[in-house]
Amino acid sequence: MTENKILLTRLHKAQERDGYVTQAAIDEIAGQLGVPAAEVYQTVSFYSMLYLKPQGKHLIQICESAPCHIAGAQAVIAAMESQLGIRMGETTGDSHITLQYIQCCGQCQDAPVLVVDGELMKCVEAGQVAEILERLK
Amino acid sequence: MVQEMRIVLRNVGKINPEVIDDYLREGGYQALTKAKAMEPAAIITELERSGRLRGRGGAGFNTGFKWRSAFHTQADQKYIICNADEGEPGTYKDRIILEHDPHTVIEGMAIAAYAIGATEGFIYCRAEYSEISSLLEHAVKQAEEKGLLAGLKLHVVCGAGAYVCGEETALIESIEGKRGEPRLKPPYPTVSGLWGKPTVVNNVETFAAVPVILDKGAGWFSRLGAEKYPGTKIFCLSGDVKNRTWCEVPTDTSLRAIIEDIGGGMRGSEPLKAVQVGGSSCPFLTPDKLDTSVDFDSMSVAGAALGSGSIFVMDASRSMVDVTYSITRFFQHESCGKCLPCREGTMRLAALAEGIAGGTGSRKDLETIRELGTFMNQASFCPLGQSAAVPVFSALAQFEEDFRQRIMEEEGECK
Repeated sequence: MTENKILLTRLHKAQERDGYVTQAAIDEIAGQLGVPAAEVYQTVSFYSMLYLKPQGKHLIQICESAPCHIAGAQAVIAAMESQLGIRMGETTGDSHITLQYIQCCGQCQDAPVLVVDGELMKCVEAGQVAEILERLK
Repeated sequence: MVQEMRIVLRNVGKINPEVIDDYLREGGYQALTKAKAMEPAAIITELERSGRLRGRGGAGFNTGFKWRSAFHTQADQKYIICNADEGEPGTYKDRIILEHDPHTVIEGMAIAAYAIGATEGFIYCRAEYSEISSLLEHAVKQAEEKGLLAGLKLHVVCGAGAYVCGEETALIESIEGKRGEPRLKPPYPTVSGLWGKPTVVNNVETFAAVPVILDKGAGWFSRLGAEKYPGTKIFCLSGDVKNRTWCEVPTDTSLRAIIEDIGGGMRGSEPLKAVQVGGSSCPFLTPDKLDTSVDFDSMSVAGAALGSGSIFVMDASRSMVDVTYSITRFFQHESCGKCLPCREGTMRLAALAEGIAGGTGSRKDLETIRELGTFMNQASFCPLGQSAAVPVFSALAQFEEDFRQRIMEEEGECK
């Protein structure tokens, strides 16, 4: 079956199960596909939505492409960073929230856009940040 | 007043995308039946000569030529791939097509597979559109159950957040389980593509147009829109326009008509300053160019690019320095790292743009940007690096005042 050959599909499943792509998952998949673990690792390390480290319990992704930028994404980012006390790309000390950039998510009609635990939030303003974070507590 | 012409989006609002019977009721899969009664070569000729369907992903390559190349390559296995890795900032046309009518894309792929002799196909859908991946899997299953995909096995593969995978050879590498780094061309994928086999990679919008062309005839299609880029094109409006929405219009429509009639003009009281058509890798247009027709060739003549069909509008309150900085950061993040000119160049470009935007830039930086951008354009391996500096050059050429002003302000403060 071709489907079993598709490494990305296997990696997505492993990440869904474990929260990130663990070394054990890499070894297991490499064994099943009959390739060195290094080959699987180099693929994982390339893609920004595959993680080699545990992420926070909640994932907040912010688009900063040009259409979101002019719609005020920077102000949203600044509010997130200051209220969480972390920078983009970091996770809070209690492993509760990870903040990261996301590629343009193709929702530019409703910029700026956030993705919170996979759920899209449109036309977000900096003033809403406290409320968004409150809901994740 | 420009009128929309919905060909690719003909079923929007008429069908439930989750129900194949709705699509069949609107005449769906009849073009596939018609195609299967034709010789494969005749289908290709129809597209290539009369229809002149040119790729809607951005490159504008003749779809029939592409299919013919794969058709003529002898191989025990051929593949068909739908590029649904839409990632160009400001672009959401493929999402609109797939959300509303996944079957028109699947039907287009099935016709292409029959024409070139492929028995297996992939839809590479970006991870950001995970709901669409599920919708596509559901649609493929329905089409299989109805026996519509006899002789063709289709798979949906979910990407993992890499803009460069929109480039067809990087996309192929990604399906093969590798890092999404582009391959050297030639050989082109139609000769040696997925797992070294002849492969046709087309954009979502291109496949979606195929059933209509076969159904209504290539002659009909070729008479729509601009002569050399016939048909319709889907556009996505973003930025400082009143209605940030999408539309499908004939390709001889003017940019002004889309912005004013569909977009409703400017959102605020400030006048239009710049428009970036085609995505972040494309040049900016000034207000005097708004009467340009949106077809591929007219856009090129105007010094711009049709690209993906996004229309990003900026008003006079926007500083091109900030917009440019945002774009350079995007490319820094999305460079795959394979070649030095792009890997290091996008990083340096973003640092220079940051300096200017943040108030530590100098006039010399503008010259460095020009020199660096020229080098990246000439020496980068793939279109990502070759075009990363294009918007920066364009901004400098047309809005140099914005940059000078920012530098002057800072230099003035230093004194």
